[in-house]
Amino acid sequence: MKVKRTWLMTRVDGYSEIRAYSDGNRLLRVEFAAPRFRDFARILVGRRIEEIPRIVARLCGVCSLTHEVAACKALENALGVEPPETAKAVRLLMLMGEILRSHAIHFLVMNLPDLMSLVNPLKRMDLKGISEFRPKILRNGLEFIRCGERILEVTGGRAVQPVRPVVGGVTKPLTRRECDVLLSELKSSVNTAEWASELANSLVAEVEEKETFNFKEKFHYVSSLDLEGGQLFYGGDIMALDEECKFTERILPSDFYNRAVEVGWVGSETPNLPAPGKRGNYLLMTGPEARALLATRVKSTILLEKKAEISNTLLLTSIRLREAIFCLLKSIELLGRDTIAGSEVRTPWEPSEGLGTSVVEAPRGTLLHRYKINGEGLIDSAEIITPTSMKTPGINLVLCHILSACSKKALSESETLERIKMAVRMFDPCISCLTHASRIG
Amino acid sequence: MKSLEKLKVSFIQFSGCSGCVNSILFSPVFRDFMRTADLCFFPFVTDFTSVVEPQDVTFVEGAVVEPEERALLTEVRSKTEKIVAVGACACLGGVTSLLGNITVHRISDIIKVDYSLPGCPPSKDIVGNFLSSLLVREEPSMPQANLCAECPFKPAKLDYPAPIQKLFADKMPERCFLEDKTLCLGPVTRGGCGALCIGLGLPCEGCNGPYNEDSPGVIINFFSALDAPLKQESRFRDFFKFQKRWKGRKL
Repeated sequence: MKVKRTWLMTRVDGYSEIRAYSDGNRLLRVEFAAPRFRDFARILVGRRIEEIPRIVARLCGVCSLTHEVAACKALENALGVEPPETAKAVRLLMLMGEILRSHAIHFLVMNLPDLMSLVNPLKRMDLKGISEFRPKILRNGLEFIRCGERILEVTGGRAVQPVRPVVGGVTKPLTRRECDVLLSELKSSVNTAEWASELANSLVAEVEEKETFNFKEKFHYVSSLDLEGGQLFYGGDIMALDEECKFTERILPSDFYNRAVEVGWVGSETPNLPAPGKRGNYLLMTGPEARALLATRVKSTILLEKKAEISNTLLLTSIRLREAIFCLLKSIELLGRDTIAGSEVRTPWEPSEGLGTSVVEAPRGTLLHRYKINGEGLIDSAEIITPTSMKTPGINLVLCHILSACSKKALSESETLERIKMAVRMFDPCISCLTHASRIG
Repeated sequence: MKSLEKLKVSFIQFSGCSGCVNSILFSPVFRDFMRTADLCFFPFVTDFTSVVEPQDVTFVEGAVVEPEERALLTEVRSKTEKIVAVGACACLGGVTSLLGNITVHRISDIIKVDYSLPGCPPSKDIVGNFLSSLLVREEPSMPQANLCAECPFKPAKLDYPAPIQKLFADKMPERCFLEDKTLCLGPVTRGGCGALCIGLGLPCEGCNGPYNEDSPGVIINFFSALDAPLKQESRFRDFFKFQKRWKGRKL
């Protein structure tokens, strides 16, 4: 007889659970699920354009800025407004801050304790353990998080729900002095970011049971890239890579949903996309690994990786931390430019009818926002597709591989469950985004 | 509260965005707090999966939507000496309560709340002062004045009824938003955030909630002091996006 049990997922942001099906003796199947689905797009319908960035920021406390920027860009697209270059540079700087902060939190709170527990199985770790036994690591880890927080504080007033982006640009120019102070702080933080990356790499190298976390499954990868501007992170078109990691197509953000259905990326296990079948034909991955792969496969001025082959969840940590260093260096570069402290930051606009789509690279991957505005300047329909919702079916497939690796090694149920939870954390799912995003209208 | 042993502290998250937990966890005071407090059930950072023993303080983020969340909250109340509602969703209902198709409860709708940390998210000062008070076992105090008291554009020179023509600002202000005929909820909103949004060019949207317990009275008085076309007035209600009590009610 099949028995279903659930465990609370710990050390992820928000409420989620691990469900396991067993025959009474051994685990047959496990899955990661976030059951508390809420239709956030419903709130947006009937509201005014100016309110949307403020409300969507509340979708997620970890990626609030990314949602704000994605909403501003989609609404500007609908209204036919082009924000000034300085506003775009400030938004990009803020995005860098948010990705840096999110990766640093993931490192200290989620990933590092797991790697330490794998290296030393007798001493199970979480943040509490790190603060008690490894105070130096806690201090450096918090300093790493501070780098991203400082960028958001200087530009947006606070790290969570920062304010400054508005439809048409940003509210206020940055002063040269603000930029210089931040610049010198960030320059002195590069060592901390490198420390984190080196620590993670050395821990990964020490893990003896690395092969438990292997997965054979080949994914399709998507990531956005502005080919003209050579810009990663601020959006552009969506680039797709096939299971051999070959570049296959360039998709306009507005066509993404239909294309996802055609290719078969969309499945019923993705909560916010309607299902053509039980599961899509191909599974989708997005996020740091997709960005790293894209940077190597598409001729781009931005090179994150020389070679990246992803077949082990432990390796995702290294990729994520290399990206954090990239974001820090990119912020330093942006702050050194004259554009960042320019005085023209806002393009005026009038409400008008229109349909607009945008993509932005969130810490966890490609984020899509789409709005339809009616003649009164109110939102008629809204659609938000988040990276975590795209990759949840893929995460669940990887968990099956890890489960079978654990049963081959005859690990106990609690040991298996612990590894399953670790694997979920390696993918860094964002539960708030997963449960709140949706399409309506 | 106990004075010699470490404080036992738990954190619970309901329907919210994890922003408040993030604000507390990475506030400068939290490192000292972690040394003095014993973190128990805190799924964001620890591996405990339930509230097993009696707690001194439990922080609650988010609004309550699901029946099982109500049950957990009641259980936690019975095991905790002090309950702290953190953020607009827990204290007021928050943006979650804008959803028309579900019933959203504030924490105080279900159990007795000892302290409320307002804001979306609560400001660094509010969080810092509260955690510091807990550390030294003092009774925490909350900002009592309205936001205008800490606004960079005070004092406002207004004639009543003050005309309102805009709900949103399209440029950086040089004086009080209300003087510029733009709606700002500063006069009826609790301070403590240093008027962060106003300093960055956005009028106050009231995420700290009303500064006074008699919030309907204060807010009705406020609106009677404004002069706005009827079409605008019907949109005023939308401004209260952080407060459950205004949902579905006309002003």
